[in-house]
Amino acid sequence: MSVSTTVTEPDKTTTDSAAPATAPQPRRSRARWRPRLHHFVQLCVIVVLLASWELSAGRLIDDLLTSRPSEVFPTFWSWVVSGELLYHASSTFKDAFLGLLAGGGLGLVVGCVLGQSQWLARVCEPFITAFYTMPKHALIPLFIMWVGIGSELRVLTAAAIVFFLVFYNTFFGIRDVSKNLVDSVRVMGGTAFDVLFRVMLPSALIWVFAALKLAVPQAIVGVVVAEMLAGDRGLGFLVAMHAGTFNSDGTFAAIFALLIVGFLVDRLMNLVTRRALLWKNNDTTA
Amino acid sequence: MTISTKETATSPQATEPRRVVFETRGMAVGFGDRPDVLADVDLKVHAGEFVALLGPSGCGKSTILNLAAGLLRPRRGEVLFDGRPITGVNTSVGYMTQDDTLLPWRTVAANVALPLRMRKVPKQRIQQEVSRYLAFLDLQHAAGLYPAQLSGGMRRRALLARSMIYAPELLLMDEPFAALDAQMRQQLHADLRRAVHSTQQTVLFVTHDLTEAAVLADRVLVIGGGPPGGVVAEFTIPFGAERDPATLPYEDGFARIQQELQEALTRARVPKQKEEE
Repeated sequence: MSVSTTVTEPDKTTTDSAAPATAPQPRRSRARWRPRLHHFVQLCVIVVLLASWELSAGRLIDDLLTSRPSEVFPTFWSWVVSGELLYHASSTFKDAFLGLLAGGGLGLVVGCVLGQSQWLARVCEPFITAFYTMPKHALIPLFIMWVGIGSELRVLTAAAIVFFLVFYNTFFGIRDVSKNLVDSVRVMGGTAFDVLFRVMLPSALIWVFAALKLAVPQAIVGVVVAEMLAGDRGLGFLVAMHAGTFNSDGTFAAIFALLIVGFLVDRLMNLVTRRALLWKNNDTTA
Repeated sequence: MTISTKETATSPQATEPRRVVFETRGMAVGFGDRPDVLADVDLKVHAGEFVALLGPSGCGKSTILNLAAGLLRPRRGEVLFDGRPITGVNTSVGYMTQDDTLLPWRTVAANVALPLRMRKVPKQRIQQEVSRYLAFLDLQHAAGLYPAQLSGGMRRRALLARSMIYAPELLLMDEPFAALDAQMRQQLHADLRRAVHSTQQTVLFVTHDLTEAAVLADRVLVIGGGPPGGVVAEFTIPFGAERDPATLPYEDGFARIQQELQEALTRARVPKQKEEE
């Protein structure tokens, strides 16, 4: 199953790789950032790419189609200054966030319920697989019919995508919980409530975070696609509108904005995941 | 340092009638539609006693522990705890297996505190108990560490602390030290004997290692002769409660006990022919 490939197996973390610690190790403090060789190479790559783009535009290729960095960045900057970028980006973010909340929350609950019951899981499995493999973006026209082209459409699209990712991983996360772990907690006097909240959910959390790492960018993709197909705001709308009027500066500036958004969101997710799974990370101090 | 949660008796007398904590009567057990693994098993564990179940791998020793924990039901016969049949999961026992069942997202202290937290013990009591047990098992310095940061021996001691902290009436141990190296195992044998002695903990201990059984237990039941298997021999180990597992193998008479256990274990490997009681 494609979702589970991103997940490292939870048990493997407890193998005895850690040195017998004799004193509480200090929390891995964030090492001060220092420029390294690979940072320099990365910078070079960017410079070379931009320079060859700038130099070839208008000479080797038609700059009506590709624009050029010296025009894209001023356009981008003018959006920053005018607040246009903030307006569209915040719309995209808000819808993606709401979609993430709704789809993720529902996915978590349904995943927990089905993960607990063998029988229900067996009944639902083929349906879920069918829906999981179906491209959710194909539902956008249907969603337009249902809820129109407003914010609801974008939230619904993001939610539909996120739901399946989170549900799938929660489901398998819950199923994966070691029976020994559950039994040991029950013998210690744990109730069904204890088992769910002290064993099942924390175990499934590794899987859920792996899902979120996919789901958060996918939520943004869902919103952007919905914005491109219908609507009057958002970064996807910016791209579609400028491309529709053959304004390549604006199109590239909007794509650049998406690039930055995606990058920042991914970094943020890494940070959150690392905090939440602290217990898992500090055996393999990278 | 000692832990005394129960009345400290001076020396448990074998002749004195003691309360039976765990008992099976004519018990038979099996899995699925396959034949019985164990049949006609009658055994008793008295309060304060350390009983070892010794037998070859796969003879059904662990099954007896699962019955006592209420995770499994017998096919026939009775399984009694404190004189009453076990109906659900038995929360009056502590259960320590070969598996690492520490919750990896909880620190050592939080893991050891878990049974008390689930039993709604007041916070302050929990703190006292946790630090007492951590100190007793030499884990104070590891309180804030996660299981992944511990060595195998420390994890075992943390599990032992967690299984004993709520003073269960019976501590079930299923080859708890099998994965450790010999030296570490010896250390843990000493720790276990010390903890068991100072709390008067009743223990039912499963092992396939006859030296481990002889070093730790007051009484050894040899299981085997199957299928279906049963109790093929019973030995009382005479060395008393304050023994030191490290030096016990050099005591007079230990070699003879070892040899007798070895013979019983060999007999336990062949199918039961009702050759002796």
